[in-house]
Amino acid sequence: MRRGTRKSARNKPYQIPTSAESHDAFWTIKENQQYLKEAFYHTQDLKFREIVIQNVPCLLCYLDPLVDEDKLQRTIMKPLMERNKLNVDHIVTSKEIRISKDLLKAVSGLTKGFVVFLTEGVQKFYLLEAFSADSRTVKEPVNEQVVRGSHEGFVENIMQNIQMLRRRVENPNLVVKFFKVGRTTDTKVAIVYIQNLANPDLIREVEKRINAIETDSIQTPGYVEEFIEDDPFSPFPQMLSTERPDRLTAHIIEGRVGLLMEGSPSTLIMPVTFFSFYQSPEDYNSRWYIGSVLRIIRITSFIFALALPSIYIATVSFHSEILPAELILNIKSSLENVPFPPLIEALIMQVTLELLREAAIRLPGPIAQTIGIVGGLVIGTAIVEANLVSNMMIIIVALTAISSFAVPSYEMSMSIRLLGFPLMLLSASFGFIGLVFGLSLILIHLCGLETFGTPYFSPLAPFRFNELKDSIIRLPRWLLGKRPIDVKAQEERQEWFSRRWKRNEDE
Amino acid sequence: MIKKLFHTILIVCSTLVLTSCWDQELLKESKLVYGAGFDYEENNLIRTTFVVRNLGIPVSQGGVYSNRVVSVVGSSSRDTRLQMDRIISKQLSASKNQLLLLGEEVAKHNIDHMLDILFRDPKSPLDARIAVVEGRALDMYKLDHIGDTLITEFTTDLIKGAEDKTEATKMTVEKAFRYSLDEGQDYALPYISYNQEVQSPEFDGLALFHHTTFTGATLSPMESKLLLLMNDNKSSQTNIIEALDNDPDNGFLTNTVTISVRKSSPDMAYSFQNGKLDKAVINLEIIGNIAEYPQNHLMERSQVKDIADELSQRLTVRANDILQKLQEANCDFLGIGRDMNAYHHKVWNSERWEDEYKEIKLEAKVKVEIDETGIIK
Repeated sequence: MRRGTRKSARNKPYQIPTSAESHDAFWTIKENQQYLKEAFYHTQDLKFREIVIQNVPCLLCYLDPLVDEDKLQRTIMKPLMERNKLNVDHIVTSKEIRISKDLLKAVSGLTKGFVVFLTEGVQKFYLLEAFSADSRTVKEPVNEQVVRGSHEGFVENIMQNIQMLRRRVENPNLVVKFFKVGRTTDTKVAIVYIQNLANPDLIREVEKRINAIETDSIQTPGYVEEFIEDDPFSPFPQMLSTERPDRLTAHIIEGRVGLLMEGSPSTLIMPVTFFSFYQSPEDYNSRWYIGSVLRIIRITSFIFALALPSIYIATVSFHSEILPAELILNIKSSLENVPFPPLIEALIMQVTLELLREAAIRLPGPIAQTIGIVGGLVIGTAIVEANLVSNMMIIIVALTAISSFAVPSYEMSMSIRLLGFPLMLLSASFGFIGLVFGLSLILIHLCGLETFGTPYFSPLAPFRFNELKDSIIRLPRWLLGKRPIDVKAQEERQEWFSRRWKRNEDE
Repeated sequence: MIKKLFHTILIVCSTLVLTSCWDQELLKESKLVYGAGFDYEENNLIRTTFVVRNLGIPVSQGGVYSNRVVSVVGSSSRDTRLQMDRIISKQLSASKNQLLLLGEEVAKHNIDHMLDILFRDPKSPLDARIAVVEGRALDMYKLDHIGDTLITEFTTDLIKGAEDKTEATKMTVEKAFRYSLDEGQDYALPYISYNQEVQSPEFDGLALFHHTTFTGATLSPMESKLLLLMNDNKSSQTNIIEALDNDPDNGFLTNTVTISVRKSSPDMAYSFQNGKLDKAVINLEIIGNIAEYPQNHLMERSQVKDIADELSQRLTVRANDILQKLQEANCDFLGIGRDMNAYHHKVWNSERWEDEYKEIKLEAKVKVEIDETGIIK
């Protein structure tokens, strides 16, 4: 499980065979055409267009869905046919032109939206860029909405995402590095960081881990996350996933590394601490008191979502004497006719709730509302009237659910709710002792967890008092002079007495 | 690694299966005792009364709480508790007991007999109020309810109300234990009697205790107040009513003045003779506002001074009466013995103190100062 124990010699993973091997191009376009057809197994979206330039037959070859028709017409076909000359380098206005003799290059180029230009009697061929960059419009991510602040969200197009980043950080130090991951899908993955700020060891580590990935396909950033995270058995997410450019930018500026992937609007941020999951970009848009209170509320919500059902179960099944005399009557009277022990009661409600949540996610908006009404009102009321679950348990479970949804990160909210179940079992069999042991185990795990060489539970473990001001609470920006130390950024300062005008005014 | 994982799963599964919920005490499977009482029966037997709360229909569905009063006789309180289990359904749980009433007779015996069971169980309700009842505790509990309020809540609130008005000290089961074993410090429990006229229990002052037994002497609520002021136990409200006879024929029904105490500071002074404590003087200074005085507007400062002087005199007489009562009952409520032990250890002898306390000269001097006389008047 630990790093370094893995055997270095591993079997090569199974790979879907492709017929294209390095192969010199033929001299005739017929043969080349035949080869390419074979390479793509006669797929029907591979299109050929024959043209004659200076009485030399030429062939344009491209994968129809990948190529932008307008680009093809404007930058390739039109110049070639109007000027009727063969010096492609000077005529074609494509933004990228490659020359090659290897047909394998042609095959991989075609899958990336290049147009292959073959000439009769010439072995060399051209790869002309005509990639269709269509993507959906930029919208606010549904799962990370804010009241105030940017409403921009990443899209599925990696170039457009990088463009959003570049617009936010107009600095040559912003470096993008591309990787090709997945033998079949050959997916484009990019890491972004700020040169001369991000810790070089960190960048090297991230690159090393991404390069180590040998897999058939990468479809979501979740794949990458599972391949490169430190502790795959931990219940806590070790990389922050976000669809918000402002959030990614903020983290990159603190010296972290972002990971973007073609075809997915969610990006990963590494390394992160536990408290990053409880921060929202919105905190910095409101007054700092409000931001601080919101953060404290969110951290309270962590404790609620984690332990509230367990505390309740332990109380009513082991330690009812801790309840005040006035309260105990209310709780006892609601429990009186319930046939199940508290644990079963809690499980019924929790499972019902998870079912409702899953059902509501998959359904379109209007129907999801119906599910909410059915779940919330009908099941809630009926289950109490039928004496299956007590009133108190409904309150507890509802509070737990609300608290877990207060977490700004979806993965974290799920992890916490999931962790609640073993705690419930522990407190149902051992009372508060079990609960305390369970919580201690979680705390020990949090303190021991490391991501990319930085402590996960920083600034609580190791304890750094100075950094509590931007993790547990949020002090005004001008008091946050230094970056968080856990990322080991090359430059610590991030703010230089912006309020010095105040001092001048007094003089 | 596989082996390790297997072991972890095995341990987790076996703890879950084998624990069989350990010493679970489900709240819904328990019967809550809200009040307990002890009485003395013939032949050294104890009668224990439990007030058990019934919860037939949930309150949310229109149910009402009610009490069931059960009473059994046995040789000890544990014996009666076991008998109790046989006549009460579900698991009896006394952990939320609010009130512990001691019958007058049983309190005159060693109260440790009854309370021992409470001090050994970690789940016993140590914050329950404890009081002495005139007559039998069972009779008090048999009243069941006063108006809409159930008897246990009613009596508990009665005692809490008295605590707020400086008529009783806050005595819980745990405090009774501490004081009863304390040398040189005695205590008093609230004394509850039955008022025939309004047909309800009534707070009737303090029952003076010496060590673990009730001395039989009680103080009226008015006397309790003054005693607590002398002991520096003032709570938020303290009203002292005193009759003055400066002008008996002015046509008013009453001749009294009421002051609400704002600040009181008692001060002890000891004098010694022959290596023994000879005399203890308590100087009590009371600063108060006039809360009621229908006879006069009190425009002049001198009038106020007159009232204060007369009050001082009268309260001094009263305070000395109280001290005498304490000495007769051999109840060292003011903790003079404790003071000796702590500050004048040379004269302290715990065995001799029993007799010594009755013989020392106790004297109280009360000085009243009046600060304000009211808003409009």
